[in-house]
Amino acid sequence: MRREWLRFGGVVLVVVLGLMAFREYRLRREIEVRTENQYQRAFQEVVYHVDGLEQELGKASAAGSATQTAKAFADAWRHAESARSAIGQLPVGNVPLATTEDFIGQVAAFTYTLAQKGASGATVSEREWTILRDFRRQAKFAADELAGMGRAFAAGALRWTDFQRDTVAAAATRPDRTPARVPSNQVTKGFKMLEDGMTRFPSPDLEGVLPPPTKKLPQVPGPVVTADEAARVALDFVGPSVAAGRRARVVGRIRSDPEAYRIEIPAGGGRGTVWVDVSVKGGRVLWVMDETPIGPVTVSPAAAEQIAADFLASRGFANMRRISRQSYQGVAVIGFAYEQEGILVYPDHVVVRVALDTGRVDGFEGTNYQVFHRPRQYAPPAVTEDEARAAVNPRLDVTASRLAVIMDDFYRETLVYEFRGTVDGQRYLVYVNTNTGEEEKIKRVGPQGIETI
Amino acid sequence: MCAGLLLLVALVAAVWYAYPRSRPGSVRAWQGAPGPGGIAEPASWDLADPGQAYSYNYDLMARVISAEAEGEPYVGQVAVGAVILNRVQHPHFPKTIPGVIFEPDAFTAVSQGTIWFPPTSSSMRAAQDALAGWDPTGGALYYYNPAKATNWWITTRRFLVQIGSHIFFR
Repeated sequence: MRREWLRFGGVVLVVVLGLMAFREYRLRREIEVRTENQYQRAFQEVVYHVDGLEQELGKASAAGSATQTAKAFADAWRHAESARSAIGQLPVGNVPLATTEDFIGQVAAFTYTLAQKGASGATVSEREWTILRDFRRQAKFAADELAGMGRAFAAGALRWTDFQRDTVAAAATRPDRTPARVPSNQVTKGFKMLEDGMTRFPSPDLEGVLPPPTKKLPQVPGPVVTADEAARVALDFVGPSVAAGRRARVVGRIRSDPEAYRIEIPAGGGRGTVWVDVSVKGGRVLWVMDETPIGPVTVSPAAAEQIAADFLASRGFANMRRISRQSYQGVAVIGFAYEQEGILVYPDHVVVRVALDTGRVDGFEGTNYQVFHRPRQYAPPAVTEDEARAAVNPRLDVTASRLAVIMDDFYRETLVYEFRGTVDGQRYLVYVNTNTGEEEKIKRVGPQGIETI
Repeated sequence: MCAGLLLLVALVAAVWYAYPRSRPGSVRAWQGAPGPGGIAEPASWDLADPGQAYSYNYDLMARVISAEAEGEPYVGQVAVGAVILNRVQHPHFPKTIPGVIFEPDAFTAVSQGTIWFPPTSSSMRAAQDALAGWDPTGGALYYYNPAKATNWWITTRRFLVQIGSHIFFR
């Protein structure tokens, strides 16, 4: 009887374990199929949008009317952005795709620019037609390659989830730092063919047509300073209340834009570490961050504004006007821009962070100011303020206006009239070119802040 | 007889257990309670300035910072936020903060689900500082922790700076 019970117990155990394993298998498969479907969908969308991109670029080059040309450019731009978004949903982070991604980014920027140009009535230049033709040929190649990959994947029953598992395993660091073997399969082969083909196309000359794809700030003007000089600059900038009894040491030289010394004022005397970046050229403070923990709030954000303004004045930043303010997690962050003879120069902006426990300045970010600030000369406006106001939407209830300087993606500065106004209870800043009388830009303003540029 | 009955009961129980059921409560528990201030705006935001539209994604950034840079110096937390924003600006990456964060296998914390734990308050400040313009990385697009397993190919990129235990690359 006892043995019989044991036998039954054993059978029950085996059956239960078997069913549990089967359940786990089913759940896992279900999740894998769902993930797989998402990847398949993303890839099919890349194929679809790159194909659509090629078609619309073709239509743009064939269209005769401004309306059809603008429509084709707008559609091409939409396809390019959608393709980029779909690529970002594929597990291809470890697959070299830089040329293809650069291409899609460039076409997106190019078609967006041309769609805008068409809207303003400008015609497409001869040089832009050449670029358009080259882009279309390259898009044709990419579309064909991707469609071919799609067919090969379907025939070979490729699974993206398997590919993902392989690449994650292959990318893991090996102790000797030698590259692991990248798995060779349909995905890597297909993308390698695409990427190799894309690099064979001559890259069109986009100088002046498109801004550089990655922002690269110029160096700060001035001579190169030594590490010791930079450390002194950092101690002077944070001031005696922070620097008293502490030393600054240069911990590195960073090849950023602009190039900088990283300076550490180590923690001590109840104060946290302070980090300062000082530009190698010019020896100017780019940013400061004080890690001293922040206690309970005792200072109002309004008082913090005055503290920040006083700090700037004492550090040699003259004529700074507040342009934004926000408060979060025990700090207030106030933005300022330089004002020259009544003209608000937005490119020369800084932000100052004030800890609201004791009302001390514990952060500064002024890279743009240090790079761009210089005495400027402005041609007097060719358009009067009244003429400029005529360009503004009559529904905008204008409450204030002033002269300002704004900067575009090419780092070109434009003297503009800034009109502040309200539409439907929402505040906006509208910028009108003082030379052409055209609306340059519209910014939305937060409930209490003013946006920086 | 008795044993046969037991076997039947066990079978029914096992089949009931083995059959997959959706449990909505478990998903909510997995995602964790929203952090201080929750998914919506933080309570301390008394001088609200939405800034660029993407600043609404600061909560998501704070979660990544919290999970990726736990135990790192504060500047290292801001640095992780800055890498996310540098990627948003770069053509090789998706154009939105959620796009960059949820790119497959881009962040270990996302792959492993640890971003769904409530973010620390310092990571929330770090996310906002990164959005306000601080970039302690000098424009980095990648980072890794040499003490943990990570990608070999990152070492082929341009070294920028080490902050805490993370090494930042462009």
